[in-house]
Amino acid sequence: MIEISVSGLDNDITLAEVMGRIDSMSANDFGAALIEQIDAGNIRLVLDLSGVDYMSSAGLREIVGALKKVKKADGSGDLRLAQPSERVREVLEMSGLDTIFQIFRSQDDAVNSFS
Amino acid sequence: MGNREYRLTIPAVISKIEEACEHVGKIARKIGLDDDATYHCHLSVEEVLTNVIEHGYDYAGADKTIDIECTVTANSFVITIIDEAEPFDPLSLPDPDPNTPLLEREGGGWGVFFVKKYMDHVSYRLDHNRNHFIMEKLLK
Repeated sequence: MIEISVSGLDNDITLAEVMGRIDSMSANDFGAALIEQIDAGNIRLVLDLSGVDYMSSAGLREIVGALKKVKKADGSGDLRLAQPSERVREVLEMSGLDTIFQIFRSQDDAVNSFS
Repeated sequence: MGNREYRLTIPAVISKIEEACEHVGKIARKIGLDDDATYHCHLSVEEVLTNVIEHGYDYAGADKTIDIECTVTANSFVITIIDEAEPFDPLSLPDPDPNTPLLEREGGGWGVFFVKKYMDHVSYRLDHNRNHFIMEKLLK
């Protein structure tokens, strides 16, 4: 079960805050929520993962798909990650995604990185 | 003291994976595995079951079952996932490359990769035409 809270910020930045576990049961809903934002033209995305203590490969597949889509949409588009927990950071590192995503220690740092 | 064995059978559907993970997690905690080791077992069971349901049964396994057998020995916690899908050894595939560029990433293969990283030993065998994926966590 996950909850995703989406807010529009200045500079066309969209903040998505996720709470819960991103696993094979919730990954589809999670990915659909990201794609919905991208399809709506919200392509400067910050994904705050501080409320996520568990992400399996099903969740990684969704963020990779979303990043591909946002990069294709526009040269200025990006999906940046904020505050991953130690466990989420570990799976990002094992899969090499820590070198593909921009990852920030705080939500503010991630938001400000777009300006 | 002899080995202790636990068995759970679930329908081969995504919605039942959590039940299996919780079952394994409860046993892991009961035998004294710490939070990290329990998490490793939980995630590994999710990854293997997801693969069986997605690739083995092509999401059409509602009338099929998967057995989750847990065996506690003097020095290890062994989790065996048993299914009747087409015989296939997931360990026969090469590991995915963490250096793969974004646009070349197809998304597959990471589940088994994580299982190999998180568990102390993994193996596969075909027994009575049933796939057996075996994961072992050493008790420290």
